[in-house]
Amino acid sequence: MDRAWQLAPGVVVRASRGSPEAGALAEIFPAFEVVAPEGTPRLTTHVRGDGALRVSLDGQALFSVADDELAPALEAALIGWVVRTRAGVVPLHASALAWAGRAVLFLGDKGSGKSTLAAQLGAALPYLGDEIAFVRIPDLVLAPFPKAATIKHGAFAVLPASPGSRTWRDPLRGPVRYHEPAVTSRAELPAGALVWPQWSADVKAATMAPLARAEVALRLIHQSFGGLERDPRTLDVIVALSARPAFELAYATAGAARAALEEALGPP
Amino acid sequence: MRLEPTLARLADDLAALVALPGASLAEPGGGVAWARWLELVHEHDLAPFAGARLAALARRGAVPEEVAGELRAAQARWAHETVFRATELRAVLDLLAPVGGAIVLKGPAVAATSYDELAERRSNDLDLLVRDRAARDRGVTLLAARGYAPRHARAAETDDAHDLGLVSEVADLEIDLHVDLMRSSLPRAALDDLWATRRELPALGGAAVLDPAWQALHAAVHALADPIGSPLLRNLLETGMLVDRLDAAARASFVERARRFGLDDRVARALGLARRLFGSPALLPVPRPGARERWAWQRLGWRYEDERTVGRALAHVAEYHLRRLDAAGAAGLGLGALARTLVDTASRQVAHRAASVRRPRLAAVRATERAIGDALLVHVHATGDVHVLRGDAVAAWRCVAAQAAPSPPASLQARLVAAGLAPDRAEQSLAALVDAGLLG
Repeated sequence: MDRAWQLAPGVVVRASRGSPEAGALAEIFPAFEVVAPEGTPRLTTHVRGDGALRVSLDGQALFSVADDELAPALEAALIGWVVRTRAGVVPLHASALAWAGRAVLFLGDKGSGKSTLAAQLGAALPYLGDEIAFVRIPDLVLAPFPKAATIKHGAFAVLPASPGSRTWRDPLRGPVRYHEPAVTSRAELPAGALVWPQWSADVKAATMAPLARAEVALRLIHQSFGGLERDPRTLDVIVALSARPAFELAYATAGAARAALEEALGPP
Repeated sequence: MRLEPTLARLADDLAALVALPGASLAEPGGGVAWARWLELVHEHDLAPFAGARLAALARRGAVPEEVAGELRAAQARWAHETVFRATELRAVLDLLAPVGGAIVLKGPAVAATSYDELAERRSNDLDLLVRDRAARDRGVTLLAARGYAPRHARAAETDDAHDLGLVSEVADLEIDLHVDLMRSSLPRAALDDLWATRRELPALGGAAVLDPAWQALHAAVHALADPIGSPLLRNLLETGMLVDRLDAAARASFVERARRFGLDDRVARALGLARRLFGSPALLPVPRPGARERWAWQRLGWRYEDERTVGRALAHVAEYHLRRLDAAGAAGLGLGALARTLVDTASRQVAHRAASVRRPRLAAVRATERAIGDALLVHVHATGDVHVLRGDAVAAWRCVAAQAAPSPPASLQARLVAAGLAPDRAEQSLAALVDAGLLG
């Protein structure tokens, strides 16, 4: 008996119930589970002689990983598949939350704290996704991608592991855990504000520093998958997004970050 | 000519990893310059393979942890591509079914037949062989529905091209639709033979690939096609692997087809180099080395990190020399062609330098611009760079972008002064645009 996950139109994958790959997919993509349609590509793993897991798709050997590297490898591979088949959107490296009927995007480089903050605030606010945010062309509506938030090693202390979740090893990002926020939403909302969080234990009071439009545009280009060549309309989307309220948020705790967001954006 | 010690060690490592006899090129007990070893691995597109075979590599000698870490990361990055690559290949093959199907060539086919898994073999494009030009034309139309368009606007109309590049910017992937295996066409009988002997590969979802002898022939034909710009070491390694793994009947078929279809000289040269590097079987008498093998051997020692190095200049000469020989259908040393190439290259360089000294002219590079508040966002098409211009730089950019033809800097500066800029600010603005790569 198989379980299946639909990650985007035409992007469905299945795996045998109880298998390591099904366990990993259920941990990363809990909001995407569907009844397996006929002919859906099937992921399998088998243990090699040296103990590594070989991942195959419909019998085609794709790659091998250590047992504790499986989930991050599947996460990256499947997100790559989604990004590279989904037209009509600008994919940004961002987490997202719903805030007063609009989507707030948390952007920033690896380790800036965007995933952790979205996961923490997602305990009370509708969580729209992590790692990837699809902004629809041309209406700037966020098509949510509410995969579990990927929590990196530096944030393990502030966001304790959920029951049943495990710590995985990623050769590119280090140890990671997956965290499904309590309130997950698939609502399509217009992109409302852009926030670049920067966590630091030394911040006394959280601050929201407004960013100039040109700076926002450059940062968005830097954080778009596929760059400006992906779709000729991407630059227009980025210019339009840069007119949204945009801030750099310095914070030490999620509570302080939320208070600063409320002060700048109004109540959620 | 002997190979540099680190390259010799890498060749021995690669042979051992794929169970080829090896040519024992490295001095016993010689050290390894690991930074250079890694540079060669990247240059020849071997990092995912080496990363996947780290345990076997480590059995040949300790691999420094920073090198191992970089190889593991390269393997992980390529592994992340594989689900998309595998599903996209199937979707594309399904789309091409109405044109009589396609044979999967090169990367994905070699990965499925000769490597343990797809993540071991990097490939940039998907290479597919279709029946003929009519099938290719229909294929272009069918693939357009999936977002693939000819890389060059007029390419679809270029009837003599043996392959046609179709690109999807969303998928960030190029599909090369071939109607032949090589630029100088194979005889019709050869194409009929390879279509008749194709096989379905369960490890590739039932996709059609060349039979083992044709696959080895194709690898050998291509291994030295571009000895300067290709991942030469990997291509020769694969040629050696594919030939080495042929059983007796397939080896006989390989030799018979190479001779029947006039590929023997070209194929034997590649097999000769593969034998020299990895100890793989030559199967055919290896001719006296010509320009192609000599340049290939030279190239293995070049470094590309600095465009001003002698290696870069030599690469340029080598490419032109080989093109001349190809045009003449020559396979020997081509010393006369080499002399003419050297003279031509030097003359072009001198003429170019003289022109740029005498008549420097500036024009705006191809770019898209958008106003954003009081700034101008300029996206340079060739490099993908984005610049934010403000104040005088905006005025200078608009002035240059508005001109119909390149102008001397003095004339541009005069126009900016006429538009109200002080002479020193006009000069500084133009210099800033040049520094940013916005004027060429």
